[in-house]
Amino acid sequence: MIRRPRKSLAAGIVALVLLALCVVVAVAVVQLLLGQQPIVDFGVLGSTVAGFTGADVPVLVVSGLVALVGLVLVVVALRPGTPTVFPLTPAGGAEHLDSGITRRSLNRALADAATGVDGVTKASVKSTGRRAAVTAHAAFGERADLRDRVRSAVAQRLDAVGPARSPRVTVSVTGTKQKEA
Amino acid sequence: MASATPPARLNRTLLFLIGLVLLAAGVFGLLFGTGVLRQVLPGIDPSVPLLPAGLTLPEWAPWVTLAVAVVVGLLALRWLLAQARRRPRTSGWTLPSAQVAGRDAGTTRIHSDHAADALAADIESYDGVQRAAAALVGDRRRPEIHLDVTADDGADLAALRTRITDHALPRLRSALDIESGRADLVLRLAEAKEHSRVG
Repeated sequence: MIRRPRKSLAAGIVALVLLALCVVVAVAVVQLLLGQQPIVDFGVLGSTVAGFTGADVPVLVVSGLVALVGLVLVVVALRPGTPTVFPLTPAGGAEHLDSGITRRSLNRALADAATGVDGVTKASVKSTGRRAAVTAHAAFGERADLRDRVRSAVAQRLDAVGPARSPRVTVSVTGTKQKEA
Repeated sequence: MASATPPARLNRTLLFLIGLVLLAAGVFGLLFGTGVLRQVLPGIDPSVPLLPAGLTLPEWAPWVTLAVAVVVGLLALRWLLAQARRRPRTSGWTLPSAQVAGRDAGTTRIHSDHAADALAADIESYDGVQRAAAALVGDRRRPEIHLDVTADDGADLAALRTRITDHALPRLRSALDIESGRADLVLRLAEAKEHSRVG
């Protein structure tokens, strides 16, 4: 099972903007109907718009901005995004259970494995499903050797977790300055 | 079919539609303003003002505007509130009437959340499991089972999954007399609670 981002942030922003616009318009129209001074001066708004032609620069700029926002929304809606849950290989058992592991958990587990290597003080992992990039911060040790040991520790942990598609693991080691002790 | 991850589909659909409308409007404005549109439709002149000078709106215009603003505003509010719902929609079930001692013992109603809680409690009792949540979605005879299990970092995940398919799910199915349907599981890992990592 794979799960993708819900796009809640983008949806929330657009919904909020839409709601705010509708509230302002509704309040202004009610004020107009009640004979009060509306919060949006429709007269000024109308005469401002009437003063422009379609070829004026402000109109073109606004059109361009609207098109840009539209394009961004379409791209956000269509892009699948990095999965939030990665599928796991089917386990044996009486019935089929479609399993996945959250990206955060997988990253944490792999970072944990990397930290278990002697000399590594902390590690962080970013995975996209296709690759897992491990950054290990080491206090001592030889860089190439550390890289190999981190790679094998991470590979071992990956085997235990069992993602359906094993990511390509890249390891970068930071922090060893090769100081002579 | 209820989505397992509301409101993902709703968000994508609405973002796409709204984006498409804005994109179309913006591109139209650009084509109109730069005169490209005029080459296709000679009747369109970008050099005239956008609104005629002495424009007076009909009497019904404010009412229509108000109605549209209220309807669109309420829909936007609903969309906003939909972001809070993270679980699939569950429902109440009526179990078939049972015969007890030769007599009809009546029907049993159960909310699927309660059946799901029993399943979650079962899984929570397993070794290495910290938390479990379950949701049973859809038709009572063949519900979809969604599981969300937080296990210890070092737990044997393969064994845990086998235990769920061989023990927890069959128990639920026999208790509620349901057929096997789709079941899915989201695993999370957390640091083990009881065991200190030091020493």
